[in-house]
Amino acid sequence: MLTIAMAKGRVMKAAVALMEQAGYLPPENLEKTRKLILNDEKNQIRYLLAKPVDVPTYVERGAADLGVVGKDVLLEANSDVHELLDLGTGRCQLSIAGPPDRDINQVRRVGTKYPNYTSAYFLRRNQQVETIYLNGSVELAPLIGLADCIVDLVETGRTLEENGLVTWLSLEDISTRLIANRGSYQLRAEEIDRFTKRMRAVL
Amino acid sequence: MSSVYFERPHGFRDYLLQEYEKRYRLEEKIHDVFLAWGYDWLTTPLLEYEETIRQGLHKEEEEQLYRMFDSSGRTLVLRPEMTTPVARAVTTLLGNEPLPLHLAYIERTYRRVAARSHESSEVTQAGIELLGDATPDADAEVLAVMASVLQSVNVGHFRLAVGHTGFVGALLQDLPESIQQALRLSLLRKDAVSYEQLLHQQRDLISDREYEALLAMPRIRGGYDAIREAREHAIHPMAMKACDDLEALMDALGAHGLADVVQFDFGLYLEHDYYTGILFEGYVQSLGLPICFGGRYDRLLERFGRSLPATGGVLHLERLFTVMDRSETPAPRFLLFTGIEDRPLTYSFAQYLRQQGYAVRVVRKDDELPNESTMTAWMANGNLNSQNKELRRYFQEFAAMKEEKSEC
Repeated sequence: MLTIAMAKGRVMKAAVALMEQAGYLPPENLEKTRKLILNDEKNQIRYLLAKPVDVPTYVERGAADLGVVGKDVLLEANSDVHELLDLGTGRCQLSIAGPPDRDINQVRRVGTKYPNYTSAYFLRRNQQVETIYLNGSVELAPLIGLADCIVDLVETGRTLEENGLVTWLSLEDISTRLIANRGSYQLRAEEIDRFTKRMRAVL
Repeated sequence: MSSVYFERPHGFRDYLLQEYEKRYRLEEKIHDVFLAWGYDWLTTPLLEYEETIRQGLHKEEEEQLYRMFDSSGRTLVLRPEMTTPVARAVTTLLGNEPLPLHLAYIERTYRRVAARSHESSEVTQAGIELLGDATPDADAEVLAVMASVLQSVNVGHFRLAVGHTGFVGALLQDLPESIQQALRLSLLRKDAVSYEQLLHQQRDLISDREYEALLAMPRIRGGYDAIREAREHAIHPMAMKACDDLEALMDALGAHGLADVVQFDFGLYLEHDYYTGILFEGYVQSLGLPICFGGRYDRLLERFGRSLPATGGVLHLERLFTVMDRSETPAPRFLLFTGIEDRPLTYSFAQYLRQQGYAVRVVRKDDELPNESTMTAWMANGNLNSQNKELRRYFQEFAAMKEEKSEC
């Protein structure tokens, strides 16, 4: 049985729809159920429903063979896993945004849910900044003077707009990815290749 | 404020008591397997000149070196791996030994790891190097020895993934250098998504046939069937040669009876630049990282002035320790309590038990009777009090022997 860790929340609905197209029908509605583990006996698949940031950890440590999670989470976690497939769902941008009258060169403090990624990005730019880790409502930070700008996901840009912020720069194209544990990728090659092939066929 | 002197440096750990004992037994088992395959041993210094290590270094590893200086100001490093030190020793010291050389080692190596990594900085590499033999049989032997170790320590289900630098190299060679590097990095990071994105961006530069071959390569996996599939995409003689090598390797592994533990993976790429032919990684259940790795490196020794074909592999001892069958109980240990009067008798009885192959601890105890467990005995007034039948029997034997001696 293959164990797949599914990231709950933003990316799940579209990813599950794709899996259903490929013939992998979860035994219950994954978005509504309160269970954390679900077994699909017919396809020999076990679903683990996990918080997105935990998915790379589950997969890297072998608690799950496969994982379905956003590229933003992977960029932040920098885990040692196989990245097998871009599911093409959950598309958005990882962007730098701030007040319209300022720009990136003036930045000293950055508010973000992605501190590792942000620090590495500004290091590459040779720009010294202080990264402030925030867990939600990141847009608030520049409004109250906590940070000069933010690094965050931007889907439609409406939240930014309503808070008087604009995108300064798009850093990464984000979409949902299929990842695999390095050991499982070799030891369960036949099962994983079959799964990947069926998923690739519906993209 | 917390005190740092209580802590270990990040990336290091201690092995204590029974854990140490089990780790030592593991080392012994590996030692026995290498010995049984007829390998000779060597040990080399923990420190090497940076210039030496640089001969076998991958670019990203430079930042991982622990550096220090010798008395004349030259830079020394803690060796990050063993293959390069072995190559140095072989070319400078073993010039007159008959070939091929079969060399084995179990040595600690050091690399700095990122602060938030859970990897260790101190890695014990148990490895073999087979020098002066260019046949695929030499490569097969390295894989067979790795498999032998994994079987002897009972890691359960394992698999050796085998690739070939020649196949990747041949398919990439007509691309601009910067693209080649980017694609290699994607393979190294096991990131098929960025690999395909990069290829897609270069679509106009690449012929249809080449594009299809490059796209297919990382997905080709399996046994002989994978080689057949790879041959369809072998658009260059070097790629065909790689397929020939892998087929010959599979034949040799079949002769070892190991065909079923090996799986070809044409997307497999390892970090060292010195690999020139087949390369491999071994995986076991419940460990997301390779337990062993290695490959052929025919050009490394010529950097030290002696051209020799070479192949080898290393096992990661600490990882092996975490997945091995550790149910084996340690040898029993007896505990003898003795008062001051009974010391001569107790010490000589302890020595007698040690000669029988037991571990014995003696503890001086003058006052109360200690809590009895099945492994303990209380020595008092020239007698042994114990619940342990075996101990009582040994004491009778010992006493009879002593009597015999005093009679003579």
